[in-house]
Amino acid sequence: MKRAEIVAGVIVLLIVVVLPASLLYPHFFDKTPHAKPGEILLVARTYERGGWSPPEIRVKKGQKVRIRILAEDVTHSFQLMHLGIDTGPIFTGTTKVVEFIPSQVGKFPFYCNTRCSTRHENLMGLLIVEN
Amino acid sequence: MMWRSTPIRLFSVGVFLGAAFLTLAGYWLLTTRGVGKEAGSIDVTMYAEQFAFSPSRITVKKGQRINLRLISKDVTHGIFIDGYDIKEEIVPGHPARVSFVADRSGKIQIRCAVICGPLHPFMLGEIVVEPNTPFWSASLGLFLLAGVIAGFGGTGSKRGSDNPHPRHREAGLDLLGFSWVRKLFAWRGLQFTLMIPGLAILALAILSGFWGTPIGAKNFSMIFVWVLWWGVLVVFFLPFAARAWCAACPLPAAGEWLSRGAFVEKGEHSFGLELRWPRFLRNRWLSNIGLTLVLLFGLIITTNPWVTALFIISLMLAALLFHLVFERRAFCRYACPIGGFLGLYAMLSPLQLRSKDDAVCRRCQYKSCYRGSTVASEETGGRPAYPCPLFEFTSVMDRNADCILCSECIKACPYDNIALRTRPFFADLLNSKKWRMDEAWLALIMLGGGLANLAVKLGHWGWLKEWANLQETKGFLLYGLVFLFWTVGVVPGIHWVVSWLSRTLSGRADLTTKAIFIGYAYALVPLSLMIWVAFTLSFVLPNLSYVASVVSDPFGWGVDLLGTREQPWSPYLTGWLPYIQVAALALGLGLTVKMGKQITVRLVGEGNQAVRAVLPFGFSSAVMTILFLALFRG
Repeated sequence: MKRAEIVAGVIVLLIVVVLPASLLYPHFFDKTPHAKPGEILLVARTYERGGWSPPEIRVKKGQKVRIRILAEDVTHSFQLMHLGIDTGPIFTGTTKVVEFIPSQVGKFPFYCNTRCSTRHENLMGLLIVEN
Repeated sequence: MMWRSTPIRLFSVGVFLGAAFLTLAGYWLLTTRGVGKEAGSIDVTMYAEQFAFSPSRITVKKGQRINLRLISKDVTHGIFIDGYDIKEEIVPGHPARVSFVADRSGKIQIRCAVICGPLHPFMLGEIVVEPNTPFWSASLGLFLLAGVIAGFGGTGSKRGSDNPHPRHREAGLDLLGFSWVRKLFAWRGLQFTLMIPGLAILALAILSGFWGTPIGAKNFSMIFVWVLWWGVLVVFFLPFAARAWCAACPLPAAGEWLSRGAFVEKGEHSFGLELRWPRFLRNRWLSNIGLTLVLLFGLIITTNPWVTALFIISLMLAALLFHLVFERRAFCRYACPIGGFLGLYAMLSPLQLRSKDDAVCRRCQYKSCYRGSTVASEETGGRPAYPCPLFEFTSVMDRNADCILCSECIKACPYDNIALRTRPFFADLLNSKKWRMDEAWLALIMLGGGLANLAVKLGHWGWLKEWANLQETKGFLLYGLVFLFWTVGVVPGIHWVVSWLSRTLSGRADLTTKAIFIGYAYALVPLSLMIWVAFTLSFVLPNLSYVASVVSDPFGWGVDLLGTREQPWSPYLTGWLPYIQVAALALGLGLTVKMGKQITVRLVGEGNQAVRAVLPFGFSSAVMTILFLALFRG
């Protein structure tokens, strides 16, 4: 076989095998595939499409927490009343970051505070602060 | 040769002047009543709901201050006002207020400014600032333009009837005369290299279509296929070298490589059944049907990433299957819904690949451009090459419709007898010996389907978008029936009536209406081209800025590869869109009437009979164009 054929074959292999595998493997098999270092990525989806992802966030008391919230399908917001946090609208496709240091152990529900669907009120997640 | 000045010509111009006068009267009657004194301000409460504003169209007077109170009925929306560059978010529970003075008359397009769901890019509303002088004066201008071109001036045809279509063989510049172009086309790796970027984009589009965000505006597949690829295809490929896209198209890649058993070099063994394509399907009917279906489901395909991915995969699989069963690229020539209309527009491109010298071709014993290279042809001076994938025989090829500029024949020819020349636009459309009913229908589908597509996507009717989006079966069925009735019933029907009128007026009883029907359909090609250009720019320019955020986060997963994912949406040149749309329609109509005249001369001969015969066509084209103008700016 000629060299050109081998080079071409390698390029095609890169596109049809390596590219999909390198994109899909981390997405499906890594724990938090798309978060930046030091951040927790929280994806906001409507209740009908599965709600917060992940639905529960576990953090340690007294340690700084940095959550990046991505509004995936429509505009959402992130409201954690016990800590006095409300991001205001996070427009579709954009992210906002909240930073805080939890000082109390316990379970704190967080909500979306911008109407995002007919079942907007059901869109709830849980922040679990542990020792 | 100039047409003589005759009463019939004056009558012809008179008809258009009459129409222009009626337009003017309509303008006075409909728009100028009570305009002027009462500037002041107007308060409007407008509701925003997936995926329409209500009221979706409001009318105000020029000079009035418009105070909009915008209330969301469901999720967060926004408003962007074309030409005034006002952008506001409409968060549920927090009415937004927008206030501006409508100091320019004409239609203002308003758009949703915050992604609110799949159909967000098509959530549009209209504010008509009366008097709508731009629309009425443009209509007047279009009537006058059509009248002047139909009634005055020569035919533009400098050829005798004995030589209806010279092949412009010696006319243009042979690009293959440049040594680097020649080297490029002789290089076996050319087509593979052209296909690779497309293949990579296609792979990413399929992956992001299935596993990326369902929100099109933030999904690679939507933005790269329907904004970038479609934009480049319509604005750059269609007018200049439409079918050249087919050489770079990655859809048949898998099938072609498999059946050839090679990527780049000429393979020794081919793979597949290599059956001959059935004779009764050697036309464009299959791709006409495919295209009509694609247009019918257009809104669903272009707004849902996974449907786009499925669409791409089914085209690839179909091409693969065709390659395994039939010889060469039967799919591209006879079945591809995109290839069909690319072939139609290729006929107007200012570039043509043809043989240089008939005598050389006649003496040639290899015919390697059609049969592929052989040991003998390679020894004589040809290079290893495949037979023409689209079954064209370069020696007798006299139009571009099925030449994809893949360069195989250039490689194969042992005598360097192939030229790639520049030429005047539209040449092949006048090649009356090759006029066919299937292509005539294709031209009509591009026009009628184009109007339906425009009304659904860029109209302000939310219910129509819901129907076309298959949100309820009954509505979709109704929409489908109306779409098909319009596209394959009303538009061809009007075209038939126009052809019949033309035949009657020409007094040429020996001509058939069918012949005129076919001929005039080719004259509509420039108009439909410019309509698609206008539609495409009206959709691409407002949505082009999504490219920046999508390259950083192709799947909408939250990553930020290049640091541009948070780039805000900013619609480009929306203040210029009215001018772009009107200019495109005027250019299209002018060229179509001019072509109509040339084709009339070809059909009925020169003289008074031609002036009479072209009248219905010129008039109906003007009316059709104004119908499009009404959708854009009315």
